[in-house]
Amino acid sequence: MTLDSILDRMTGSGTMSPLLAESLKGLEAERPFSVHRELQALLYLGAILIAAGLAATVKAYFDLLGPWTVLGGLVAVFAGSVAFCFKRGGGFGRGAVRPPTLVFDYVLYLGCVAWGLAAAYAETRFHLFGGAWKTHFLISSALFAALAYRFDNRLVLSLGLCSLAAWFGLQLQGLHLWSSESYRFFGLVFGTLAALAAYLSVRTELKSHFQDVYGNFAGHFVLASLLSGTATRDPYLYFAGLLAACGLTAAHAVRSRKFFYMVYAVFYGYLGVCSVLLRNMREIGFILLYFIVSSLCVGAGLFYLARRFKEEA
Amino acid sequence: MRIYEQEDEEKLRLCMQAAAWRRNGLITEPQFREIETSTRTDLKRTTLMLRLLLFVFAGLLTAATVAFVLWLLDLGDGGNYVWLAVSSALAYAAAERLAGPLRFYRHGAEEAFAAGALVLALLAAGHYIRHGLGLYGSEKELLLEILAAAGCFALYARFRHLYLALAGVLALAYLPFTYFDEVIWQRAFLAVIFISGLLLTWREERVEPPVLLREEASFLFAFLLFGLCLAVNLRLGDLRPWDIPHILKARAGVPAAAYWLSYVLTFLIPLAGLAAGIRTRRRALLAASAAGIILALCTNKDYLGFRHFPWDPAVLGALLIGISIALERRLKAEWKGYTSRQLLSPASHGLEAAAVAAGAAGISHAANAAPGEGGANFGGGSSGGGGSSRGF
Repeated sequence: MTLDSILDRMTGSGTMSPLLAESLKGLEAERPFSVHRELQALLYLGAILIAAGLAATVKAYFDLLGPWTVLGGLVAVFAGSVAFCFKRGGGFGRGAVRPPTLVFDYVLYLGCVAWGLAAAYAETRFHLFGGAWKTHFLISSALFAALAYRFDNRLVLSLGLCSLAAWFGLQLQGLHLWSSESYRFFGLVFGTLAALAAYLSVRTELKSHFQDVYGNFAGHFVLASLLSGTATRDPYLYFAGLLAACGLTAAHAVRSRKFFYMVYAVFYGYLGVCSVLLRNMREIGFILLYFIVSSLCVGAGLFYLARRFKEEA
Repeated sequence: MRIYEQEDEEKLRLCMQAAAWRRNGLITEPQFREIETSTRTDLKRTTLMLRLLLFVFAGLLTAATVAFVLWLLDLGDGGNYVWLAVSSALAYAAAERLAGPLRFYRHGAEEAFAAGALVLALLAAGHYIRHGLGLYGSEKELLLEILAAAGCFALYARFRHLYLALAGVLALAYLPFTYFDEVIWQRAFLAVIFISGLLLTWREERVEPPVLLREEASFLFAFLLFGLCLAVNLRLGDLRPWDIPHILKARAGVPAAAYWLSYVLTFLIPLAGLAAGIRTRRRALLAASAAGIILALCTNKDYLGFRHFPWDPAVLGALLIGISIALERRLKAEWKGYTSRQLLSPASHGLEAAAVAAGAAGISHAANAAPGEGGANFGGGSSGGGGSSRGF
């Protein structure tokens, strides 16, 4: 049984045109051989290395270069990359917009990293916002989000979300909310906002392919926050919340056929259940028995799911 | 020897290929159904993520059951390794049952039982070597490494999970570090292991087997080539921030001729791999060779004794981007059978690791680049999460 024989049979029976069959045979034999993924990987690595090199240079030559040289250089990189994107990029679209070239997305990403460096440097040097110095994270976050939507760039959207997360975290610190409870609260609020953004992006059909970027942030922040709550003295409210959130995540995974979310739901959910049930268990035999029974139960559930969903390429 | 028929595996590969065509709109649903009917097998598959979960929980089940019986029966030293050996046989029988009569294929559970059987067998062997044979230290380690490698290759021959072959190579690669003290002999022996592996896989790849087997051999070949790049590079230990384990660090006492030979080989081997990859159109070989060249560039200054500058990563990054742009332009219109166009988009599992990592890396650089002064000490604000706190 070869692909050629299947396609020849389909061509013979008239269910496939000879032209399509030939194209598919070419694809199967990798003619032409696409190096798209490899080039993207090189660009990705290159962008990360340039960002790291820029950051290291700014840090090492902070005083030597002088503030205006550093700031001028970084802002010029940012302005140049944004200008390049406006010049070369297409118009705004609500759906996915194909970049004109492979390097396009990475130019904008690098420009945004340069902006982030410039903002951090300026704030450190000139204290532009005084006591509210964390504000530069919020401003950067808004700028990155706007650019991400304008140029349909998931890397920059992620950069914006990370900036927003940093702002949230530092705000809490400024309010002297040092306890893990406040960080848990922050995680829940941030994660819920990300989940809401994921929902709205699909609902409004505005960059609906950004859903998974938001979804990954939401999954980690909400589930990790609730999981950390199950290790407190009064875990039951968090535990109920965690089970509900895992249930929703698992349902989303099944509905959208994106089983990475199932990994989130099962791991965080299982750790939560372990945290609550094992907290008062001291006998090693019972603990081992618990792991046998629980892994059997989870395994059975997964087998049921596995029977329903076959692998796809 | 193989538990799955080669033809069945090839059919599955074709079916997955057809699913990719359907996803990209190249064929219609009825056309896909017809191909699916032609490639139907009785093998039971699942999605990649469910496979991962099943692997983890089947592994947990195995470990907990073995530990529970050990606790319950309290067999003592003599009985422990007997039970470990028995449980290894039971785990292997479970893997055989799932993959054989029940026809589970890349399903996670049978893989976990097979891997668990090997781990348990090694634990039992370790126990026996120490208490039964009275061997300690490097002799015991050496025996265990050989057993681990043999076990991995045997399981690979039976179940054809590529990662088992890779684990077998790694177990073999550990041998020189246990046996030799001098770095030159460690590296030379390591290179011999990788070269032997390359010759074996090269022969297997050249006999024009079905595509699936050729892809497997090609991946293994690429892995061995990258291993050889690591083996000949005496300056890996100087790379930062990756803290390469001590065994990979270059030590004093390497003769000058060997040192400069190693320098030449760090470039020569991946370049030869790249040339072969381009000629034979092997994706894995291209990737491994490119990684080898980047590694050689990273250690170039260390070899020559030049000073590192903070902007070195940026220069390398700019070089990579420059090469990518040049290649994209050259390959936009098809050139010698190569193209930079995306022909088939990959399936989405919902994982946006690249985007999230890029965002976290970007904000981490920005936070760490600002030197500590007054209130704006962002140190530790990596990963852009709730941990963006001072001194967190």
